[in-house]
Amino acid sequence: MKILTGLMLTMFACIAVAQDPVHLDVRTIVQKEEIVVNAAGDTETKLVTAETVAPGESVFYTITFTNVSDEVADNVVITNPIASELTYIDGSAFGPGMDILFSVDGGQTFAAAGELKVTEDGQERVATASDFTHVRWIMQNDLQAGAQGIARFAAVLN
Amino acid sequence: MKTVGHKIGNLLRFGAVAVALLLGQQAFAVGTDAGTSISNSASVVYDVNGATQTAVASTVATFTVDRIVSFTLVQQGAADTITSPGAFNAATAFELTNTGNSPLDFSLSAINLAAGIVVNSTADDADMDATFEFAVANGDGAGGTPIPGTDLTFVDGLAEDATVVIWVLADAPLTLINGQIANIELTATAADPGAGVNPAPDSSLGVDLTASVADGDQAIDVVFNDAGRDGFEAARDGYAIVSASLTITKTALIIDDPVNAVAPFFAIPGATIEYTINIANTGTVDATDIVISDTLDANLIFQVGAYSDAGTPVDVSIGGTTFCIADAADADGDGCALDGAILTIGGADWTVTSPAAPINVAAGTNIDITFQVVINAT
Repeated sequence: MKILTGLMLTMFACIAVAQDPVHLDVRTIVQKEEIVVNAAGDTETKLVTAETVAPGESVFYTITFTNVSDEVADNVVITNPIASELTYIDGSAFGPGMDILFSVDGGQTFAAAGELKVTEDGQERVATASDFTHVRWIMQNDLQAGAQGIARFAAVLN
Repeated sequence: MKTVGHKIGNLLRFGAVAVALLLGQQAFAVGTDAGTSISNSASVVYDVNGATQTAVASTVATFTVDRIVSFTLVQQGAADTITSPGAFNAATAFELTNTGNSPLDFSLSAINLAAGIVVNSTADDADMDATFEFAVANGDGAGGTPIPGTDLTFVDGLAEDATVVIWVLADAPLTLINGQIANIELTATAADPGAGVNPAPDSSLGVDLTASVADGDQAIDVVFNDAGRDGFEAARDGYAIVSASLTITKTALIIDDPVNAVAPFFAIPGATIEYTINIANTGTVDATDIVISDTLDANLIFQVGAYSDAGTPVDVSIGGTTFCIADAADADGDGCALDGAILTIGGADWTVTSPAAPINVAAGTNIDITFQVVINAT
C-alpha cells in the first residue's frame, strides 16, 4: 500500500512538473465576531465562520498561503480585491514580514496607504480607507519550501 | 453556550461603522441588499528561480447578506380626525417607511384603544366600530386622500427607503355623542417579501418574519432592528366625535279666545293656541335636514293660513322668516304636510326653491317653529 501511494505521488509529481508546477496552496476564509456567554457566565468574543452577515457588521478575511513545493518562492505578492459592498477598515490589513499597499483605481496602481490620492468633485484629496479597492501584501523575504504565510484584513458590510 | 446579539454587538463596537457613515458611504439605513452573495478570492504571484510563475487564485470565501428588518410607522399629523356619529369610513392616515435592506410585506391590523389611553393629548372614552378597513393614498409621502375602492389587507413589497401612506377607515357608531374621543392603534408586522435579492411585489402576503437565532439558520438570516427589535410597529391616532346636540321644547300660548277681547285668554272651546317648538343645537356642528313630527290631539283643529308670507296665507312659521303650507301629503313639495293628525315639517320632501332650505340649525343656535290650533268648540 505504501509503495502504491508513493508511486502515485511520483506520478502526480511528474505530471505536475510537466504542466507548470503549482507551488502555492492559497486559501481564503471569511469570519465574523460573535459574542458568546460561556459556562461561567462571562461574555467572550470569538471569530466564527461568516455564513450570513448583516449590513454594518465587520467581516475578517484571512488568506493563508503555503509553499507546497520543494522550491523556494520569492517575490510573493498577494492581491485581494475589496468587494464593492464592503468598506475596508482602516489599519486592519496585517501580514508578518510583508509590506502592505493599497489601490484606489481598481487594482491598476498600488501605493502605501498615506500616499494615495483620489479626485472628488474636482478636488484632489488623500485617499481614505473607504476609497480602497484592493489590498496587496508583498513578502519581504522568500517563502521557503513548506513554509506558510498569512495575510489578513477586515471590512464592514455596507 | 448561548449566543446573544452578536450582530448588533459588532455594530456597536466597531468605530469603523461610524467612519463609514461619516465618509458618506452607501446609506446605512438601507445597506447592501439582503440575500446578496459576497465572494472574495485573493490571487498570488511569485517567482521560482527567477522565473515568474502562473498566478494562483485562492479558494473563494463567500457569505450572504442578512435581512435587516427596520421600519417605522407614524401617524400623519398630530391631530385627531374629526368625525360624527354614523359616519362611514372616517379616515386617518399613517406613514409606513421601510428603512431596512430588502423590500418587505406588511400585514395590518387595527384596534380600538382602551378607555383612558391618551393620544394627541386627549383621552379615549369611546370606540369606533371594530371593523377597520385600510386604503392606500393616491401618491405616497405626505398628504393625499384615500383612493375609493383600494381596500387593502396588507402592504405588498414596500421597497427599501420607500414610504406608503396607509389610511385606516372606521365607521362611527350612531351611539357616539359630541365631544367623545375614540383612539385607535394600527399595527404593521413585517412579512417575507419573497425569495431572492430585491424581490418585486408579488400580490401576496408572505409569512411573518422571525428573527434568526443563529448565523445561517435561514436562507437569508433575519435581524430585527426596528424599535423593540420585534418585527412589528404600532402607531396611534384618534377620532374626535363632533355632533349636533339638539334639545326640543314645545310650549303653548293661548293667543285668543271667543269670550275675552283682550288678554288674559283662557283655554276654552274655540280658543286659539299657538304652539312653539324650539329646537336648540348645543353641539359643535350644524344640524341639517331636521324633520319635526307632531301628532295633534283629536280635540285640536289645525289653523290653516295662520301666518302671512308677504301677503300670502301660510300655515307654519319657521323662525318667523320661512313659511310653509301644511297640505295633505305635501303635494306642493315644501316639506310641510298634515296627514290626518300628524303634522310633519321639514325633511326630504323639501323641493321648492323658496323657501330655499329645509330646517337647519347651526351649532350654538336655536330656531322657533310655530303653528296654531283651535280648541274644538263643537
